[in-house]
Amino acid sequence: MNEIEQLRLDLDKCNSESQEKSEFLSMITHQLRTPLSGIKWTFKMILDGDIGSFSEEQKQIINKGFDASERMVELLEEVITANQNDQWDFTYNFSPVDISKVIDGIIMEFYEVARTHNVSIGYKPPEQSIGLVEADGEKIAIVMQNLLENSIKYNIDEGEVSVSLSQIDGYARIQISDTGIGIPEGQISNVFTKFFRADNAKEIKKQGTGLGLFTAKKIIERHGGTISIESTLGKGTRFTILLPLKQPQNTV
Amino acid sequence: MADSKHILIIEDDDFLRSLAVTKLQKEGFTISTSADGGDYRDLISKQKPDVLLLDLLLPKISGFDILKDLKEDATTKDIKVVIFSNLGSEEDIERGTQLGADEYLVKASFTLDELVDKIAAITK
Repeated sequence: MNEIEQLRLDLDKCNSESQEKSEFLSMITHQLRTPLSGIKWTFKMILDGDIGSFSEEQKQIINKGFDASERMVELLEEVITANQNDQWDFTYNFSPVDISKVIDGIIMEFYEVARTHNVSIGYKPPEQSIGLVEADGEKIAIVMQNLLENSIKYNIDEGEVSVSLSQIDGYARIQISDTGIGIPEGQISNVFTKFFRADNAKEIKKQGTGLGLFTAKKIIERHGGTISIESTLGKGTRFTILLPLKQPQNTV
Repeated sequence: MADSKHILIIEDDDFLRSLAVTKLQKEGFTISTSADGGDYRDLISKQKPDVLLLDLLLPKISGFDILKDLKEDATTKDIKVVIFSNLGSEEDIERGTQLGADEYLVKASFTLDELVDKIAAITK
């Protein structure tokens, strides 16, 4: 057996082990929902007085218990979503995709989300139609969702998010800029690392898995593209994604 | 208060089932229960419920099969079915909805008082 064959076998083994781990995690997270439901319902029933009366002092503690159970449910849901994204690693469906359609759809979804956070979204479509990208549209949508969620979640009150799509040197370029809290200078290089969360982000939102940007980078690189970040603390952040356009078929 | 509505709960987790029974009885509903779903036909023929609160992962039968069976039968298809499960992927929700579920709730994301509101809304 030559070296390349051996490497290929090793890679297959790694992939299947990784898939098994992901399935195991999926099983555990779903199982956890049941006892967690029991804890959450119990706290709520006590709080609603369904099981008898209690003192104001007891109420404060039970309230904290209920909040903790809710936080745990939210975290669990995030892990489930992140793990689903991981599982999708094994199932990419590439086809020629009109990126502007993907972005249109996502922006529509996010108008309402942004409004509830008192943030406005502006979208600048390409001046003329750009070419197709060999892509998995659903995966690109996940990237857009992750980036838009961050740009809204870590924005200021009455902040802005602007999205643009353009064509540049054989690439489709997507930019997402926000007027949010930005990232401390020394931490910018870590943002795409698995589980990383910037210190100022943790202060604002206790929850968060630190998987959104990691997943985004993985997906974009799988498309042969790049994602980069510029950020100024207290001013905002801009992500730039470049996806290679499909070469037009040359007829001979 | 009008005639009390009858709810059949099919849920295999003993603790969750007992909490649901306590809460719904307190709200004035009449309750019957099944712990494994195997006896759902007997229970329904004895007393037809207004609402079925249905878990999906059950020891003897899949909740989806129960839902399909009830919604395909002219004598039972008017029973309102609320899926109350911890399966919550898009495919599961789509499948449940296509088979005719009137409501699909993921247990961990809801509390029982919210369940009561949903049941009140679909039995109005």
